[in-house]
Amino acid sequence: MRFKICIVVDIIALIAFLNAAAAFASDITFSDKSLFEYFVPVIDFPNDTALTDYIRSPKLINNFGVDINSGNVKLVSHWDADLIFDSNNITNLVELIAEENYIEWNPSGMRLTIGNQVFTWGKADGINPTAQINRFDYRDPADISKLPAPSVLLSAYPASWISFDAVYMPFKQESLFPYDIASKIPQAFFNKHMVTNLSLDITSLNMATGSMGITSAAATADSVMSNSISYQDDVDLTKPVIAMRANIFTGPVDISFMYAYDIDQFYSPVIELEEYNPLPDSVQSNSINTAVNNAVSNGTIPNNPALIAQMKAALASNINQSAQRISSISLERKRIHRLGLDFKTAVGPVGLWGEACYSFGENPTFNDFSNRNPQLDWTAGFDFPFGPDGDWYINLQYTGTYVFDYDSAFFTDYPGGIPATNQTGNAAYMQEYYYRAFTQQLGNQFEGLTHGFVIRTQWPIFDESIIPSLTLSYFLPENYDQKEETRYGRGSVMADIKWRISDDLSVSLGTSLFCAIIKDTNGAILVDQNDPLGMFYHDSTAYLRLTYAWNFSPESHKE
Amino acid sequence: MRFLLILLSGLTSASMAFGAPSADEIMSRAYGLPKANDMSSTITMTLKQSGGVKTRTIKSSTRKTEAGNDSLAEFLSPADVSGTKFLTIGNKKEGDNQRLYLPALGKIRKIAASGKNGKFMGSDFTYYDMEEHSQEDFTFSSIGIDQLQTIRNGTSASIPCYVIQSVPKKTDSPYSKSILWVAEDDYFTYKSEMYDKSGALDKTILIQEVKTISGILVALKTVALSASGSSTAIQTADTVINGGVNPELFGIQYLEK
Repeated sequence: MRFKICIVVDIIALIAFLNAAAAFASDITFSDKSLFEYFVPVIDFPNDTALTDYIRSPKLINNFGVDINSGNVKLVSHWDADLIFDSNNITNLVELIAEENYIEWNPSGMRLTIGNQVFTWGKADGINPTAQINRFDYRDPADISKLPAPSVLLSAYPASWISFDAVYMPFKQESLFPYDIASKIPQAFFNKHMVTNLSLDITSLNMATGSMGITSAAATADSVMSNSISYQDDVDLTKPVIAMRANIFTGPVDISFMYAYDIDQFYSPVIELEEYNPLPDSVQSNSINTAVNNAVSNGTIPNNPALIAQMKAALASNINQSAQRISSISLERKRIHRLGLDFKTAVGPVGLWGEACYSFGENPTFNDFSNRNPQLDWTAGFDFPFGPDGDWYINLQYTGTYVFDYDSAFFTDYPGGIPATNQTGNAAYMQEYYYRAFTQQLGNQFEGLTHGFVIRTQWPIFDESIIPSLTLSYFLPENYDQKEETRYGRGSVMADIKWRISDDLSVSLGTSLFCAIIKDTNGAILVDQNDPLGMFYHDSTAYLRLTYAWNFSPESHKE
Repeated sequence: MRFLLILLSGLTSASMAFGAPSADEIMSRAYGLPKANDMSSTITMTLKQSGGVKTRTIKSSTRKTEAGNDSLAEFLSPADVSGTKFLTIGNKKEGDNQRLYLPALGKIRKIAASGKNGKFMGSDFTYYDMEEHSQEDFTFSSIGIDQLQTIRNGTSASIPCYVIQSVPKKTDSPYSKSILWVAEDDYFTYKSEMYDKSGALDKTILIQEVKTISGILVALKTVALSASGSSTAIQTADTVINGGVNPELFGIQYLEK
């Protein structure tokens, strides 16, 4: 249902489109790109050959579209009709996705586009920190893509060297993640830690001071509570996105500046606590009665009814501690501001680029654990052709993320990730504890600094009929809490060899491997399957991909 | 796509003849042939290579400005490059500005100039072949005369040609020399043999059909035959010369359209 709104918008656009098609059929292009992918998991092969979940499932992806041009008006309607053969989710075999569907008006000096659109801002190659307006499909880390959104784009071209873009998006839907966000919040945080049996032993009584010597032993059990997690509405018309960009085109360099009044694609928790008594009245009274009776029997305290009553009251007062637990978590995508800059230039055969985006919330108080701190994302890189006739290609980028004043002391402040037992009834303490446990994690902030490189290269041979390619990435996490683990980095290897049978048809064989390595507190070297990339370790696959594409324009076939 | 101006209007001509004009005189006339101020056409490029036959269709628009030659190439087929636009804003002093619009990415990319030896779209033409060169960049000498068969204005004809050797003065040329067949009557270059740095034949470029459009000789069919055995044929259609190409084609807005 997440595409419901998009589809309604698209159907309206499609009706307009079909009407226009009849009128403007002089310049119309039909196109289709079909792709079949079959995967084989490689990590635990042959023990693990399950073709389940989105990333492993065989897919038949079919993108078809119609483009119509008539003077200054352009109509575009592209759709994805995909078959995802996920044996665990066979009821959702078919995915109908509204891709770009829009109407464009192009008078001299301006452009107005209305409909379902993708905005590909940023001049860097592939990694674009400033391209954050659309939501994303994160389900396959080898193919993270932007999802079109209903929006209006107004562009102005006042001179050949400058242009301006303004975007209005009435709402921003959630991104597609490979997991349920709620699964990142353990059920245990909602449970009540209840005492089922308390054994007290009164060992001494000082009649002068009234102080008692007591030893205790308790048996406990969790009272399983309902997991009360709610999400912000996927379509929230009270939170539009507005973005602007200025583009400068000069001979030596192209530069863009952008600002977006955006909605965060990641969730922030709003946590409500409730106070409860972990010691039920019946357990409390039984344990006190038993302890006092035993102490009277063995002569630790005198058999004085008034004294016994006083002691029972004192014991009840002392052992009756309250505790704080989460009653509900509301996951909200908060307002976020983005300031971006990017440039691209060329020096001889070498292309050079840089791109950076500073993102901050509306309440960027650095010590407010309920809000994530600002972060800076950047990339800088170069590419150039090489090899015979310059047909080969290499592209190298240095990229990273820096989180200002990242909270890297959670496990230092809460050993083992557990709050201090004498503070569990302290509402302010527990509130901070829960926010520190969730806010950064849910916001995809796992360390204060992550930086690394991506290398992409290809070497077409035999007149480009065979195209081997290789993409390597490695990222080094820094400034994180090393109490729990030492992170050696996360990376991926993507190798592919494509056989272009014809211009329209190709077959590829390849592999996508993902990994993240850590050393735990025992010194063991492990694959970190909680890592944002390491979580796909067991979904590393080899694949076979067939691609077929065609386009047809009646105008060009009139002769 | 400056090569269109060159291939279609014969700017790289060279000439010679015994007892007639000198090689430099012939080449002066070849370089002095009327040139289009602007031109638009649809080009079909057929590549015959070891990987099979590939076809590309391009809509081309060019114009001359004081700064240089502007060109726009819009790829119509095959499907995987359809919608791609390649804009060159000519700048003789500071070097050309080239930008590529890739519909799959939906963005304009400023691109680095490819090496002169690089193949244009994987064809048998190099970027050097497409560039406009000055007469002063070469040393010419006469070799002899020859007859060439071609189709001119719809009629098959055997054309007497001056055969001229052209040696580049600049070291950035991928060729050691070229042998040019320049027609005695219209000074159009109908054939070129390009020799690599080792002196071996690299490719032969043949103009197989020409037509006079708006007073300018235009190559309708050009074939490049590489020594490696591959070939590229360029067929032009819908050619309009000096028809007043819309200047907005050479701007950022049209790239994004």
